[in-house]
Amino acid sequence: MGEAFGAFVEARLARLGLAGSVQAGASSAWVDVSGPAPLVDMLEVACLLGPIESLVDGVELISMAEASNLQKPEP
Amino acid sequence: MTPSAAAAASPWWPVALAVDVPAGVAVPASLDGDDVVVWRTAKGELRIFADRCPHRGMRLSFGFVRDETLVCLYHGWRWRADGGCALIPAHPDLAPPPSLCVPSYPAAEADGLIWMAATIPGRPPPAMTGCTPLASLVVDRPAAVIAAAIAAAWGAMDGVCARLAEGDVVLRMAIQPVHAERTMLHVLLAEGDPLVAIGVAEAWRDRFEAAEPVP
Ligand code: FES
Repeated sequence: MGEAFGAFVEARLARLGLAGSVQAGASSAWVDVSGPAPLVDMLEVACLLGPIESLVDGVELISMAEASNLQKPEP
Repeated sequence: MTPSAAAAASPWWPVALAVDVPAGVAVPASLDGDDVVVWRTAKGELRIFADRCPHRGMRLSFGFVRDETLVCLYHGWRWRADGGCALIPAHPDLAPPPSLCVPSYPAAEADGLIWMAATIPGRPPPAMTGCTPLASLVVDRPAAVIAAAIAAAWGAMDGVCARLAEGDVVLRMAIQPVHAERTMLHVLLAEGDPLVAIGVAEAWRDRFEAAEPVP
């Protein structure tokens, strides 16, 4: 995934006016995002498509409440 | 003169005849390979946007004008004249964020021509005072070849504009580089009979198409 995916998500966050951040590693990425549900859904679809350099197998959505109990995967 | 030299002479580029973009209509245009949509709101406000919907990339020139907005054909997102998103039909209760907007370009209308610029220019587009728009003619040759042919036949161009007198006809032309191999000639009539003038312009179009490449 890497840098290309990180830059792609940052551009989508900015375009959708969503607050958030992305940590993208070689084989996984973690995106923190908050905002109106329809816009978060749009970001999810964008992540699923990803940039041309990345092949995305799937996206798992975790609510902030659940996420606070989770250890973020090492990207 | 190359297109970049012409750009230095005038930051404005012609992209359409004003009569070809009436109120409530969107038409595609290209400038140096950049695709744009030239459109007017129902009230007649002129706008030039990038021809790419920020949602999924559909050409906005395939869309249609509804009141003061341009509607994308694909999922119906509506774009206001200021470039901002007015409505996402799948989420009618959502107020689209201001960051959701289409890139737009400075646009101006003068003497029957529509002009666009990459950034806000400090001066108005070239004047074609007293001229009547005649036609936009496609030439499958690079703009530099046509500029050289015009300079050889008619004398130096004035930025992106040229003047030709032949018989009783006086023509003005404004040149739009569409992409590397195609140029649009926007022809205006300064003096003479319009039907004769069209014949003169088309004959020149054919000559430009046969012009030799610039060495
Ligand atoms: S691509 Fe324009 S609304 Fe979806």
